Amino acid sequence: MLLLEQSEPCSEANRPAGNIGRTRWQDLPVELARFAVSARAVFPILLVSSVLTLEIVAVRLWLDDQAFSVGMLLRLALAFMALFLVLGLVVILLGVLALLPIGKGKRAKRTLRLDEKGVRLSQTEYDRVSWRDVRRWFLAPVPDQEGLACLTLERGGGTRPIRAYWSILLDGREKVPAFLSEMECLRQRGATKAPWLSYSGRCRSEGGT
Amino acid sequence: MPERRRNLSGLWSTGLAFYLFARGFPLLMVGLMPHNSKDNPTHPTANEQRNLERALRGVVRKFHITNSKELRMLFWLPGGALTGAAIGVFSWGIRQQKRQADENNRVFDLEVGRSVTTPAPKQLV
Repeated sequence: MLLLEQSEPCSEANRPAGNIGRTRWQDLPVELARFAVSARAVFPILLVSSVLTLEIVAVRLWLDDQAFSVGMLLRLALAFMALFLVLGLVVILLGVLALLPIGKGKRAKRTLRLDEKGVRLSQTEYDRVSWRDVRRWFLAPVPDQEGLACLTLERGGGTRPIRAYWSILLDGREKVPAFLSEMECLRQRGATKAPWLSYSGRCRSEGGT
Repeated sequence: MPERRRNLSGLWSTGLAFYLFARGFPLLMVGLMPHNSKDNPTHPTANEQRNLERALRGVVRKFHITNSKELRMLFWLPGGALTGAAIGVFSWGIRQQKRQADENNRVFDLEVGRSVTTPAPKQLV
């Protein structure tokens, strides 16, 4: 069994590898762009929910014998926009929270534990990944950070089309050789067949699997 | 690491399926569930009651509905059709998502194959 801890100082832990060394203000556009991409996923459901709300309000207004007026149009517009407004407020709130120095330096380090049964990860939805779900590992250098390597796990075994990723920053001189040695031992014992690929491109750290 | 595209193609069909289900399933339930005339959970006002009755009377006249069985059919038939359509659209969306995920994985594997310095096993790239 091997336990590896993230090599960065606590204040820098968990940040995307490309953002290390930058201030939180500089991170904000990147984080907002990430959020916008994620928000695209909820947009269809949000739109449908808004249409349903609009229909309910329209029927209520019709049942109440409301005459067609500017006020009625405003109510309908507000009904349609209500969910989008709530989402907008949440985005503003998250933006403000991202700028506050709350919890800075107190984040737990990521950890990776390898044993006979599988991989144990921290700070992710799936903390336990069995070896049959480990597809492969990527090992990439971190730009502008000498001696650091970004190790990424690709999850998604068999014929499942959905893949997930989880990354950890490791010390290239001590922890990466320890990881590779442990993987070789596990491979020889037949626990895993997952290969590791040394990747020459820029490392993009992943949040979770 | 190469950029991985997200699987968003099936989300619009999921949204449409949700809309059809939200509209169809209550109608289906109204048509199929036993109705007790003493139940009156919504308590409509006199105004609302009058408007509802006027609309329903128009529909009953238009479709020549003469008994409660035909009235129930007025609810469960479109309700069932909408719910069935929702299930169909949802499963089509899931299939689309799977196809998109396979294509994204293929593109990602090709990109990875161009940049790795250690060769990957043939079955992966």
